[in-house]
Amino acid sequence: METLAIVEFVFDMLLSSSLLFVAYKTLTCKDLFQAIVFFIVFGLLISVAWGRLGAYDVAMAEVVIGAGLTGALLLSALVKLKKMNID
Amino acid sequence: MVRFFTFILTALLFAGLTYTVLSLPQQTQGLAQTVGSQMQNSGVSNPVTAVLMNFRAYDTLLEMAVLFIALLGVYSLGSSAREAKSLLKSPVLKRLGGILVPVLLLLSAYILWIGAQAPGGAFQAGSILSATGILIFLSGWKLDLSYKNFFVRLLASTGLLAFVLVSAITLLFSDTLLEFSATEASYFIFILEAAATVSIAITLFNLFFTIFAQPKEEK
Repeated sequence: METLAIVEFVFDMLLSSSLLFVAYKTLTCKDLFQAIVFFIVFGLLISVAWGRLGAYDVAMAEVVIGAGLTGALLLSALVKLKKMNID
Repeated sequence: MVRFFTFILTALLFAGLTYTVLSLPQQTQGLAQTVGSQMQNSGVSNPVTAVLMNFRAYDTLLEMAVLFIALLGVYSLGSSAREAKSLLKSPVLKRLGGILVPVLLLLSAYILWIGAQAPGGAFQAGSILSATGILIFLSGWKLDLSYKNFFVRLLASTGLLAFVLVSAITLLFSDTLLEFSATEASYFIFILEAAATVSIAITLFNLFFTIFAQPKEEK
């Protein structure tokens, strides 16, 4: 039981620190495509965090809307932006 | 200079948030007990669904209205002539779509159904359904779900319509808006959730479609 608690603690610490790191990278990334990919990764990680907190409804909504749909929307907007620059 | 002000504002926000978190009481009752004591009257066994669709159904009604208004806003921004043609051309997507679409449709229906007793429900099912639509669209299948289609517009407003109709029906039988009796609650909730799923799916899909669909070339 004791080892399980330690494993959970280490996992939570890793999760929260990688969340912070990915959030930082999302904001400071120069390349827009990379920033979007980081944003999607952030969405996936934060849904894991919601799952750890026991809010499975929110986790599900976050993984579909936050990571999936918003990512797709941002990517399509990026394609649009690139097309506008070329034209 | 701008950076300095941004830093100050961020630091203030951080301090405020930290203070708020630290000043929270150690032990809180919350509303979990109140919800738990009313669960047998709610018609479902998942507390989240009970709160969203029964106890606070009025909030969900307003949420559907907000989604609908957002869709109207997106419609007004989109340019007039659009073709249901994807910009991506990939054989991998086409094959993968063929495998994934049936599974995703089934998953979405399952999530809608399971929402009554376990995590799941209209919003999750609707967003999975819209993701399926996006996958179909990107795979290059002809799929005309643009708002030119009257049927699509009807589907997009289904959720709000169902909510308004159900509110009207409940007003006939009781004094309070969206107050369900314990016996009928599960039917009403299922109708509302199914309608909301369709609307959410169409709305989210069209947010994507309006940006990504190619403008029709003028001939």
